[in-house]
Amino acid sequence: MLQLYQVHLSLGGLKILQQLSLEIQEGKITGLIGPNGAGKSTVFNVVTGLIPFASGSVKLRGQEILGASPDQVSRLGLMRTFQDSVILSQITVLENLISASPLLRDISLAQVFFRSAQTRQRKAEAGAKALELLGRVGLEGKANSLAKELSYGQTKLVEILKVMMSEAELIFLDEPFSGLYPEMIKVIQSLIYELVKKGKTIVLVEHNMKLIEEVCDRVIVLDFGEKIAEGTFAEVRKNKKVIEAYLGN
Amino acid sequence: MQIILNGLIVGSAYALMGIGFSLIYSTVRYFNLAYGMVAVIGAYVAYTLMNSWSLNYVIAMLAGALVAVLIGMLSSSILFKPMVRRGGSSLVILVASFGLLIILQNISALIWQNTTRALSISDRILPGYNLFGLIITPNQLMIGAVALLMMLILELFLKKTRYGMAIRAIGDNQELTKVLGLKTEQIILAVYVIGTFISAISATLIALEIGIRPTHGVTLVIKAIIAAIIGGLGSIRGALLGGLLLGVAENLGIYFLGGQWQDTVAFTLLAVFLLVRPEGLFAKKRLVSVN
Amino acid sequence: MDYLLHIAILSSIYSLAVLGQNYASGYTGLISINHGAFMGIGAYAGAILLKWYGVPFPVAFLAAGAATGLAAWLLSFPLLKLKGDSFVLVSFGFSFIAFNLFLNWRGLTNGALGLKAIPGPELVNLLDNTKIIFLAILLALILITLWGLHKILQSSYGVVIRATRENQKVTQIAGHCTDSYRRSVFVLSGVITGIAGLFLASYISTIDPTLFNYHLSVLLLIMAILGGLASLKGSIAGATLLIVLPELLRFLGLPNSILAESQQISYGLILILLMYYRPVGLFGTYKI
Repeated sequence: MLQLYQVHLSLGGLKILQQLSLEIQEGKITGLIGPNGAGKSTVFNVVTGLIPFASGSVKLRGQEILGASPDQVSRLGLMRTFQDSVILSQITVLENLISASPLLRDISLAQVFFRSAQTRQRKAEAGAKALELLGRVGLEGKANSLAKELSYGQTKLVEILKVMMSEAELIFLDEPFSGLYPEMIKVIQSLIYELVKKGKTIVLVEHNMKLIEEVCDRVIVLDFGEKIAEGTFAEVRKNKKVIEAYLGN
Repeated sequence: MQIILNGLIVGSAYALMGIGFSLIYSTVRYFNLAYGMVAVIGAYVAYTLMNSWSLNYVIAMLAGALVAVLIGMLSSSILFKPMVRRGGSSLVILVASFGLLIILQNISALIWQNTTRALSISDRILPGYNLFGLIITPNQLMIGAVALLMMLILELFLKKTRYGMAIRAIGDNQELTKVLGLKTEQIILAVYVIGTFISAISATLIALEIGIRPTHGVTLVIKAIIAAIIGGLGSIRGALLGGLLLGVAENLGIYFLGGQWQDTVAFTLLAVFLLVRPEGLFAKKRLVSVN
Repeated sequence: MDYLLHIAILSSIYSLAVLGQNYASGYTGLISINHGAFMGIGAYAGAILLKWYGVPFPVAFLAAGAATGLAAWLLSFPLLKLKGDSFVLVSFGFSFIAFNLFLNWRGLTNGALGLKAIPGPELVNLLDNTKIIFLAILLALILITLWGLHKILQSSYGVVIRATRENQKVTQIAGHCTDSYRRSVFVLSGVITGIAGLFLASYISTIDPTLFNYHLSVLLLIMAILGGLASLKGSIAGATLLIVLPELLRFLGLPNSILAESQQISYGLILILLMYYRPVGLFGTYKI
């Protein structure tokens, strides 16, 4: 699904990613773990086009995406969430969701005025899907509230719903569970399983090892921008390098 | 060469302006657009003192700077600090400071009229000095000397005193200021005092070259911002270089294009820097932040 | 009566300009302080064609829109690379650069002397009651603009530009080429404001560069913020209030010598009070 080959990134003499090569397998949940500063979020930023100046190669379904802009990468079927969840706070929850829908892409002013029926139709479709998603997590009442009125947990939830709206095939989740209470973790977990059932591929950064063990099919361990281990959770937890990396910190 | 020398001299005053701005910005993290206008009021007070009480230039300049400091402190404690406390964003404060700029500018226009007031260190026209074939006027000498002196004093202050260290630290390390036993509020006040003081000195120096006008408040704050941004916001060394660069670029622009394009040259320089090197000459590159 | 008509016309011209400003600043988060320059470009483009080439008003209308649109498009390339305070500063810088151009491109603009006797719409010259027709044309134009902007903002396009305003990166990640949206918004907003500039020129019939210096850009932004960012009716309220308010000062009997300064001071005060107590303005839905 996704291959990183010798991706290198340094900034002001500091090596953040060092000739990093790894592969994400289709249809699986891959955990990306490592001590703080190992470069996990940086991998996300490089792959999604937010950091355009890394060297090496990143291929999504065989297509080179390193250097492409975030929107180009997104159109190839990749969507992500952010560590400190970023919600579009001064627009409504519903608008947050539909803004991620492929139905809203590439609307021109000409379409607004000369194909207005069709444009309206697409927005209505996206809106209906968004309402359905909100209804499933009991947030339909918040659809027309401004997103800044949501609680922290709810914003995390809305971010996952946005991913579901986007219909992306490859999904990067940056600490989707952090700071949540157990019930909310359960809800988000079930949404992730649902995505996998639909054939989506998921990459997960998470500090809670119990959750990693529970959720992930495979685990890739990073330290100082290098891959130090890969395999099932049971395998990597016995790996000497991994133990060192975590204890050394 | 003469053009470059002229540029460096006026640039040293811009640098002072930029350093003050940068200092304040690095502690409060918002743009105060009234900054230049407060400095110009200091220059006006100096002008009045020189003309009505026939005070010496340097003494008048210091007195003017004290008045400016008072206004600067008031604006910080009455307006900006409460706004920050109310959770105003940096953009909200930028717009509010523009309101203050408009008010002060028009009050100055009511007091000192909307014309250019000339300022010189002496009533008589003194001959210029010849320096390796370059001419330097006494006014220019004053600008260069005072600017240099101010920078040295500032450097010493920042390196040797407790307040100075706290000011340098506050930008990236809030903890250190606590270790030094100073409150953020105290430091912000100190920075306002120092920043406004050197800005008023700078405005009074620049007045030797271009006179004083109410509209100079806008012009000067823009020059301060440009110098500070070119150098990298928060960097003293950067603002110094930025100011000199701006001074030289402006004078070259005046020579080759004509004085009427001065603002265009200055802003083009700013735009180029923001696009090519947005972090300025002396600031650290940062990784992506989403917010 | 004539005086009231005069106020109504001025308010309408500024309302139109502020609608342009608010489309960019309120709905898309492009806090520009250069729309006064756009007004100037529209005014000069139209005035030059009307005065020197004797073109019919509708042609000048299209030309004013096109010239401003082109200027906005060109400016958008450096400007849209910036954000936050940097964006504001460079945009502010453009209003100085444009002023330098109006003042120094003498062959075209007649420099500091300005252009005099700029003709108005043909229709207006035909009739005795000309001002009322001028006002009617303007109001019709405002209604069309309101309808158009409303339609845009209600559509998916409107959702995307507001999302862009909230967070550009996040909106990009959702698959939108945010810069092309922002560019298109900026250009249309420039066109609207430029056309308002043409109306100003043909109404007051004499223009010179000082009309379009940075003060005007600031005034337009203040009007937009006072009325409320991201509010269409707010744009009209803000413009009208700030046109009427200085007129009220005139009735207070302030001596002429300090009138201009007092007006400016009142603008400054409004700005501060607004930012202090109600940064969203009268009808605003977006807080900067």
